[in-house]
Amino acid sequence: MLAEKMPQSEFEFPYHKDSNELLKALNTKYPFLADLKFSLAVDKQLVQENTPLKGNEEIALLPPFSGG
Amino acid sequence: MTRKPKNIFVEGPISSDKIATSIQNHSSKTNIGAHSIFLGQVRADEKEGSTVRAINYTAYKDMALEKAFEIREAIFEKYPLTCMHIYHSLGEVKTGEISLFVFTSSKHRKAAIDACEELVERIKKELPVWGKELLESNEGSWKENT
Repeated sequence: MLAEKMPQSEFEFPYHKDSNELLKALNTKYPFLADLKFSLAVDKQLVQENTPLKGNEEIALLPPFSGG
Repeated sequence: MTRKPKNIFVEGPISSDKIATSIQNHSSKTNIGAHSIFLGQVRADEKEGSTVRAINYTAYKDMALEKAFEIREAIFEKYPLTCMHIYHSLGEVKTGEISLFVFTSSKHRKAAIDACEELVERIKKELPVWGKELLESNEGSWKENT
């Protein structure tokens, strides 16, 4: 559902110093994110607490898992 | 022995042939006394006035494989297992077909059974895999594990 709403499945996003700032910026740019449940992964690690960013990380927005 | 991440994904449903072969492959490992197997089957749930006809699975593959590897290592650490196999479908799996196959083997039954259960729980909770339910009415809705 999330991927269907984003303009592209993969894209570059301006640099933000940490995951909280990045989330804020994503929410501003894509207001529909506020209604969706998702977690953030930085370089394939689930973000548990605010994480500093360098700028070359692979960020993923992950909706609730439903495998199995 | 160091173990490396291996692919757990299978395109489409997991065939009963694959399951049978996998069991057969263990006949030479005669230190095994118990196998535990979990099979996840796609269920025809009622949804939005229609019925589920299939689930289309997608995954964040690289992360899922890393995570599966991490879970594997943790389970091997915790239980005295001889073998562990995980297979998960990607793409469309119809109702009645198998989309998850978890297989643990050990000397005695308790380790195999407990490890299998914990593996299934962790797979469902921690692997970035998504199932979109495809309905008879052609609409789709995203699942969420609880």
